[in-house]
Amino acid sequence: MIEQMVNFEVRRSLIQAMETDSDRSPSLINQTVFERAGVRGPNSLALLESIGLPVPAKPNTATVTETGELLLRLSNTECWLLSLRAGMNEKVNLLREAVQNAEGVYSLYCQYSHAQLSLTGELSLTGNNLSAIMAKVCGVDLRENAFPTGSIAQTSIARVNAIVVRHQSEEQEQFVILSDITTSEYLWEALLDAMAEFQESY
Amino acid sequence: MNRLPEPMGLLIDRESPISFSFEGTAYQALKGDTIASALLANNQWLMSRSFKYHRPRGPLTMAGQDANTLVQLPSEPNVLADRYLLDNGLEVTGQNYNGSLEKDKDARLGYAGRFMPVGFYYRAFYKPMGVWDKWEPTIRKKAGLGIADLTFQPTYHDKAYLFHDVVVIGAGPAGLSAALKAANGGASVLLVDENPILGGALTYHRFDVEGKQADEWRLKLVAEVEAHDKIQVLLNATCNGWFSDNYLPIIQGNRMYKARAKQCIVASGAFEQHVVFRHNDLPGVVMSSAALRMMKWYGIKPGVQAVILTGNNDGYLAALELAGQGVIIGAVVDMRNEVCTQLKFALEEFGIKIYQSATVYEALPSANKKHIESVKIHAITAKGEVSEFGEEIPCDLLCMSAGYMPAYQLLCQAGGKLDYDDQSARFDITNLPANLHIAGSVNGVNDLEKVIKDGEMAAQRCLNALGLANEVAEPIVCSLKTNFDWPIFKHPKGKEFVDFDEDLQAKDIVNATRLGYRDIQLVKRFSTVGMGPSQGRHSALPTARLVAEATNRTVTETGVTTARPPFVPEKLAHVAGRIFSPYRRTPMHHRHIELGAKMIPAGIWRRPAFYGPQEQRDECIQAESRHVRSKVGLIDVSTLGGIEVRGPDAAEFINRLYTFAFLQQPVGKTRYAVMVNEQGVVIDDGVACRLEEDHFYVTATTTGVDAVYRSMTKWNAQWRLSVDIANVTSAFAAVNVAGPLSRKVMEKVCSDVDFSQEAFPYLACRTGSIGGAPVRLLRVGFVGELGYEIHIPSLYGEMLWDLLMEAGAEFDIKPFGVETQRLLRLEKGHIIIGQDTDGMSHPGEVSLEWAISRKKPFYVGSRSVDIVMARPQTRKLVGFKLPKGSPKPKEGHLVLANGNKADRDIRGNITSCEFSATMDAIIGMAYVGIEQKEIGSRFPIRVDGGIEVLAEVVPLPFYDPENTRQEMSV
Amino acid sequence: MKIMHCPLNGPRNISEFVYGGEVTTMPDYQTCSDREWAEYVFYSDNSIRIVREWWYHAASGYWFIAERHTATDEIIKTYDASEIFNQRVDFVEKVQEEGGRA
Repeated sequence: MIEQMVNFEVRRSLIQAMETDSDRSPSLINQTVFERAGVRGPNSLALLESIGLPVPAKPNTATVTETGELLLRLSNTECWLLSLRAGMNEKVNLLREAVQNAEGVYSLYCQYSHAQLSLTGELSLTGNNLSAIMAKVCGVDLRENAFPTGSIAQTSIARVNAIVVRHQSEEQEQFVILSDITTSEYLWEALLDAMAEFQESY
Repeated sequence: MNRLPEPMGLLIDRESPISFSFEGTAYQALKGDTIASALLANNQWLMSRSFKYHRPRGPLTMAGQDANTLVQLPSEPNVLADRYLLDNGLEVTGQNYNGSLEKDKDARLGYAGRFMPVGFYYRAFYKPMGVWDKWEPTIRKKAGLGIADLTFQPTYHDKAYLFHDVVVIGAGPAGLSAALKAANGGASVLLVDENPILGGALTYHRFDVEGKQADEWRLKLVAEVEAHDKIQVLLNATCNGWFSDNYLPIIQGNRMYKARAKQCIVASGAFEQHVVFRHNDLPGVVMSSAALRMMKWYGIKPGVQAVILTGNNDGYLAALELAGQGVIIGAVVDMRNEVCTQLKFALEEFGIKIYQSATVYEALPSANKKHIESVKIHAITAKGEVSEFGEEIPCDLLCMSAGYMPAYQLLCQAGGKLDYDDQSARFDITNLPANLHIAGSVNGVNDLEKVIKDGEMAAQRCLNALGLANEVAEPIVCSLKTNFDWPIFKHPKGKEFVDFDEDLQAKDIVNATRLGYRDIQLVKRFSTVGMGPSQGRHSALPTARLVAEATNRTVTETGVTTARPPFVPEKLAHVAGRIFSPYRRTPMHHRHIELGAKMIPAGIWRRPAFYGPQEQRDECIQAESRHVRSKVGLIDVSTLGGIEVRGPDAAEFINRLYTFAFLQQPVGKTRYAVMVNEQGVVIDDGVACRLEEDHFYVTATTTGVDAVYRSMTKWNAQWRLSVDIANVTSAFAAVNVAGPLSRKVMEKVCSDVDFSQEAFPYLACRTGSIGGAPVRLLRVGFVGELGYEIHIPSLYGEMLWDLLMEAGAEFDIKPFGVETQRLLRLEKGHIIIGQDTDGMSHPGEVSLEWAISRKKPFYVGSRSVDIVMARPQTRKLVGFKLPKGSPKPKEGHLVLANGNKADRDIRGNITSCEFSATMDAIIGMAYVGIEQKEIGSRFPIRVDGGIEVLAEVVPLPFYDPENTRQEMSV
Repeated sequence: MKIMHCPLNGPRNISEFVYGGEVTTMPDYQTCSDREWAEYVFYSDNSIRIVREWWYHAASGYWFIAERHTATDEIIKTYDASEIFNQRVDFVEKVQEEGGRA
């Protein structure tokens, strides 16, 4: 029912900003209203495979689809599909359609229960600063050698539960952070505070 | 200024002069100076007054290990002058004096010392009762140290995690070699040291006659460490504790790092120990290592003529170093009877006289009593005994080398045990956790080459444990004896200090044992030994020895007191800095703020209490309440818990978790759902909506939903039913539109649902859409009027609010807050779980028998409910009423037994109470004794000020008992 | 801070977990005595031994089982609950006398 995209324009996340100062790196981007969908259940992985999505080999790892969505595997029976750009909705809609009449697969409410933030740094500028920022709010070692691209940590950030994914595109490294939408303004502020000492202009 | 030429003065920058003041006098110093070294450079040795007797004190360790140099800064008291790096223009004063540092009127307290024996305060002010209260202000004034600046400006402090394979605490020779070996073996290494440069003892200690080894090793090891990309170095940083699994708080500047080490090596070194003799606290009496630090670190010449009092070879090496910098060595007084011939020859080349089997028995002060002027040397005749006559030698510096105490604090926090070995006169540490290693002098290894080897072996053990290597790590044995076994010489006139912080003399410790305090922990608490800022770094060893001797036990049996974090004093700012306190906001939060809501915390949430200023609370609530009863109001109930249960076993699962019967519940209907725990206590309630045959949507209380969800998933981890359980609390925003006009508003915003009474009756649920977004609609009656709960995906919450306000404008719709809702539901007699129930409330006590199915085989807690319900009840939740003008009881006020006022028992308590304009009376709910529960009976409530009011039991609900309002629309 | 190894998420600070009590077996609620039921509901052994406990990883909503020594606090092992609970549990009403359950 609620998985169909309606009225994209009237969606509101609690966080009123879309992005921090864009000429400074690292930056924090609010992707809460972007499309995402999740499935869980004994047949969920098979369903994802049947529609051609690259299911990660083990829990707490992520893959990137050919069109650029992130596919997170959170347990043996649960996956989330995230778009990282506004308007990127083809794969997510495909999944929403496929789950409608599938047996042993339950659609999840991550579109609405979670905020999606992206802590993004220019590769040319940041070095290893993103993990240093995260180390101010998170007790899991997220440095690249311990937590390579495609790793997922379901953990606590600034004392709220969150899912953290390390992602890398050509020019940028990012941590995609999914956290309860009702604490998202709080988390936004906490991350800005942690980032301040590392930000540089470019 | 007093400055030696290079290479002395490793830490100072001779090109950068700075100025500062002490006690109002201006001085010059150099960048890199501490407050203490800057004062010494200006020949100012007196830095503080002792805690109890106000004796003059100067530097003892030059390493922040003692309390002899506590000074006052404008914004900070109790600063360690020998640690605090001087800033240009800093204004420093002394503290703990009456008058001035130089002329302290309280110094005469020292003469009263013999009338203030150990435990004086405990014993003198114990009786008669109340005498302490009288004396306390005077004593507190005398007892205080520095002055806190209450006008301070808060500064930013924060925390950050660090993750490493190996964390090495201490960057002396053992720590440096350990860090290198571990990093070369492939581990990521964090190397932590409290000093501003790497090297530890290599930066000041002399290891050989030629005086070359320290620098050679230091330059080599430091260069390699600094060039290594797998080693992170933290300088000026203190590891202040050890917690489970190598969780290490490390303080550097305004940040507290929380380092997590897979393996940890403690190479924390050892504290040089003093000799206990009369007047061993005079300024000018220092540890040998302190004199070396003055020279090597700051280029300070510590004296003109020195005497060295030693029980090991390090005193000889210190003498060579001092002599090399032009200090006249009056004598080396060796407490031992055997001596290393090589060192003896080396001293003789300087023409230095050596006394063997001798000690300094007393230090004599200068005329102004503020510095040492000479020492009296006596022969040692037996353990702690000296010859009757001695020889007096003038000196302005006395260096003590009695041995070392391992810096065991972190290790003992990790469970390390200390064992005293009579042969070496030293404590060894055993029983460490598998992932914690030690190296260097803390491990009893003192020979430099062996120290370096010991660091490598500790690193080897780490590499083996990390799976990066698999080589045998042989233990390093070092037979170099550093500790003299009895450097304690009691004097008939006393003032031979064991603990400088607390002015405790040898006899104080012995007397404590004579008063029956034989256990070291009791000795500490009675005498206060080791309680001062230096935390027993120098007093623990002589105390253990003295107590062992006085109680005829071994030093191992006596032991030392427990070492607890923090290792050095920790500012509260470090603990408090950047604490995370999450809060939750509903999707309509910003609208509430725009509407002037008074926001209050509800658990972790922020909710509108009412709309209006705090001063008008009561008026706002009554007005909002009247508005809902007469027109229409809306309240944000997004905080309400929501749980989805889907799958073939959904109904079976709900049926097991909640007390009612759910298997036959029709699709499109809601049912009240009460949850009890296995003890039969009511823990949550909500509404179960059957949206489809295999799909339930259950609400839960705001604060209970997380526990409810955990409980559900835990049960199904055991039952293995075919369901999916999801906590969707945050996924849905929810609004309750209530009041006689609510149907009209709903019909305007939602066109695809038939809101007629026949099509959408009370307790039904429907799905539809509002503003294009899908909604779930529930006909509920929590506030006792016609009402609809609208649940909408969170991203559309603000849109829903706006549409309702817009559509409701013609009906005068107004928002109401959670305090108004509490009043409305109270009028309707609806309980709130957690407010009207407690940890003992079973369903019968709160009249929920009707919500329990007696027909189904099982629900969680069913057996317990059967048992408690079969028993005679002792209390009951009832509704009560008080006249309008009566004092208003508060939640928690006690319900008393009826009858004789003298022996009145507590029978219960108030759970909810408020003035109701609708009822024109004070109404509430309370637990009363079972004998008080009948309608019309009266029971006493004790309200504020001990006043008793008599309340009348009335039937619930107070308002609209026939439920006619549910169907009433205008 | 102690570290616990979550079977799903790996080693984590113990603050990420919620304790769920000992793994116990419910007596037959229809046939056991009141006393047996009270023992099950209210009493725990509290002796020095290795206990099986429920633990919950809050961030992932995952229940698992840990074996822990009550004196040393050492966590010996952790594993998925399905290693113990692998059968569907059903409650069937037994024939009862009048006046409620036995």
